[in-house]
Amino acid sequence: MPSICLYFQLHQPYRTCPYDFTQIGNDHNYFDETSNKRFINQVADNCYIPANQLMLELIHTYKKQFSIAFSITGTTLDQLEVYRPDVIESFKALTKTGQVEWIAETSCHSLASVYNRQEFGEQVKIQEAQIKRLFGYKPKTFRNTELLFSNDMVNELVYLGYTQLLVPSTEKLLGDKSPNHVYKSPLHNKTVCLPKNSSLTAEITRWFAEPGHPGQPLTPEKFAHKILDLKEVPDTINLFMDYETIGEHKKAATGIFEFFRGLPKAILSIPGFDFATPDAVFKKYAPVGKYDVPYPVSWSYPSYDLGYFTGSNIQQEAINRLYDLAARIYAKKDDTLLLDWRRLQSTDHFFYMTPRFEERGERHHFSPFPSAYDAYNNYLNILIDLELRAK
Amino acid sequence: MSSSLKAFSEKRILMLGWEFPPVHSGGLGVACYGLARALRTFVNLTFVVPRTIDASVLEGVTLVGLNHMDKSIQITRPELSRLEGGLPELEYYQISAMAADAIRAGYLSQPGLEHLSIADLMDDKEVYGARLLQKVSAYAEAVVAMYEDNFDFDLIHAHDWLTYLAGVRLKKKTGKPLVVHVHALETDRAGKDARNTMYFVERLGLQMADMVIAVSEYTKQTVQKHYGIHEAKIVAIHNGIDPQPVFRHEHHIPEKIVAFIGRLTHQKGPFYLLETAEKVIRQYPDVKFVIAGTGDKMKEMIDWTAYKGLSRNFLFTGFINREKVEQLLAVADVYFMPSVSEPFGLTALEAAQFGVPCVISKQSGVAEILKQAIKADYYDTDTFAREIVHLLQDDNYRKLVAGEIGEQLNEMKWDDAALRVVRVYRDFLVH
Repeated sequence: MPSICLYFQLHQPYRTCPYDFTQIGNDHNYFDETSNKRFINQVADNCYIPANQLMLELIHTYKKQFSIAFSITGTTLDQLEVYRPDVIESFKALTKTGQVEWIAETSCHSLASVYNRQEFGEQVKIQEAQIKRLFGYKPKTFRNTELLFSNDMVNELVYLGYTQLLVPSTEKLLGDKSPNHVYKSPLHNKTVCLPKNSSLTAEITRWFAEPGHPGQPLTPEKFAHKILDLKEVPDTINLFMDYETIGEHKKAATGIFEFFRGLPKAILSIPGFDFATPDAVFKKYAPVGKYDVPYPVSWSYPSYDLGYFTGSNIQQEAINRLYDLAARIYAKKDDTLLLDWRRLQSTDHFFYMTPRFEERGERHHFSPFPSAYDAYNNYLNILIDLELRAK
Repeated sequence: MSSSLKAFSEKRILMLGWEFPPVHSGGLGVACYGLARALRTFVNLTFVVPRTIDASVLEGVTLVGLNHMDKSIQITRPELSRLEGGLPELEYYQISAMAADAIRAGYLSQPGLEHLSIADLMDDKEVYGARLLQKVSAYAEAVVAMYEDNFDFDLIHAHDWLTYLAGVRLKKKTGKPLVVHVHALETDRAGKDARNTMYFVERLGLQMADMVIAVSEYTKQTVQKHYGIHEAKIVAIHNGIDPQPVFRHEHHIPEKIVAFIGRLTHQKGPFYLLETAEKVIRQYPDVKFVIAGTGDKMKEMIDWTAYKGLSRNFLFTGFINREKVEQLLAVADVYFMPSVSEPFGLTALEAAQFGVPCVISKQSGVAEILKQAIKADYYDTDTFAREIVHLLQDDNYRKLVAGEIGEQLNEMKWDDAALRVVRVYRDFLVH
């Protein structure tokens, strides 16, 4: 009985404020409260609140037949707790239905798994503790920032207690394999993983309501047909995406809410199909083979690597300088300093520094800075102050 | 004031400029303001600029912003048809075919411009901006229209290439003497081989001028060498500088600070700066080069520092305002200006006022004034590096090089500069 595995990720960073050389050594307020509050309110109103409402309705309508998984970064939860406790409350209500699985990840949406494994472990534990505190839930499945994964992370994850993983997929990694099954790691017999179904997910996250893409407008029925048209019998269709797809990246006017409202009915009308969370999928299906990821792969389209975050000289310089501080920051035992350092680890800060958009003559839609180099200059000023505090 | 100068004060000078504070982007505006302020007691001064927001910023000077012109005055372009019919007017200007093409392209490439009034074209928040060539042409049309509307004057004084076309047209039309004032040249900005529109407009202005004022001996030589103007027609008059309150700050950056302030363009020698910095850092790692300004070389410079893993030794501020410039000078240990070609270099003088020792290129006007400053050829990064390291290591040496600048500043009053400019006028106006 094949399952649809819906997993949503929520992340908002602490955006930095304009910070110039005269502030260095005087001013340790790096984050722009006004703009962060504005962004959180906007995404809560466009997505989190109405989407949670929709999910709650769907769970009430379809009862045990409908379930979903979430992960929310700590930087998002921290801001929601301050600015939008109503969103936290609605997630509590969703958790109470028993149809929601919480997935673990890093607390700051960081690349600590690449740059500092000790810090990585710390952030995973912080994140677990926050999910436990807010939702009374102990995650059993792990996903890394940007879904980043490679074989060499498995030992670390086993040590942290995770043998159930959500992982990216590319045509190259899959080869002849299908993403629609449970696989196990070639390095550890008990570690199982679910590869994202990149193409079916993209039908929603990228192509939904895109003029010019065949088959628009996409209806739940057409989507169900795409699943029926698969050349094999799937165990699980892993649709992993940003929650912000619903109402923020794809605005309400595109019909994205109606699409999700109709999706359970369309899926459940196919004989034998159901919805399952990752944990349920792992319980239900045995691995069909090994999934070998010898080099780091992410879900970042279109290169599926870290190119948008660490692909240029300036990004590498900034991130290396940040993680070079680790030992000194730990030694200080200063909670505020540690928290500032962690919030500066969010991949967003490095994403703003990618020159790729400018090189293509495009605007960087997610960046609050006029150019990649302005983002870098501002970040480095902050970093100088942080380095002074860590001295 | 002598009696001959007193009689002189009736003379009407038409000054053509592009920047006037508060509408300005750099040193040109500062210099024009200082000169106009000092000149107003000697002559009757009308100053025309593309755009003003407050015409009464300087009492005693009639400031005309073309953005306030009668909107019925459109870009008439009688010469547009003539342009299409073989460029007689531009040929008359003796502009090379290449420059004429560029100007014509500037004219014709903006559909919709034909119904725009001059006032609207000039009302552009960017002092230079994307329609610069159109503005330069329209500026020339506008001053001719002013003259035809019964505005009379005795002498034309045009600042930099932007107003040379206007100056030349007015001279042709009225026969009045033309003085052109060179604050910067295309051969500074784009390298000595520059032969583009701006170069040819400059050369036209310099050739047609009755007298050329250069802001330094260095610039005077450039005008001779690269524009073929006879020495006898050029006079070097240094800009003035106003004494200003200076201060020192303690700063929190633990490293010694080497400051650079200026646009990040070829002219300012950005890669000689980096090459020097790398040599300094090798010998004296506790240094931060604070680079203030922006320009087309910024990305490349930042990328270089990141690639070299030297970002810790650099801080790029981007464009900073006056207040921040002063804050930077107040904490700097060394001021570094490796310009490839610098007509004057006001910021070095300001740094010296703040008691900051200056390391500057010989290819600058300010090198003629700053006696104690360390000077080397712009490409001599070994000497630059050796001197900067010495300055960073040795406080006594630093004090010696910073020196007492007071006496030199006394020689640099705007009143003295204005008096010398008046003497230039007098040669044409008093018979």
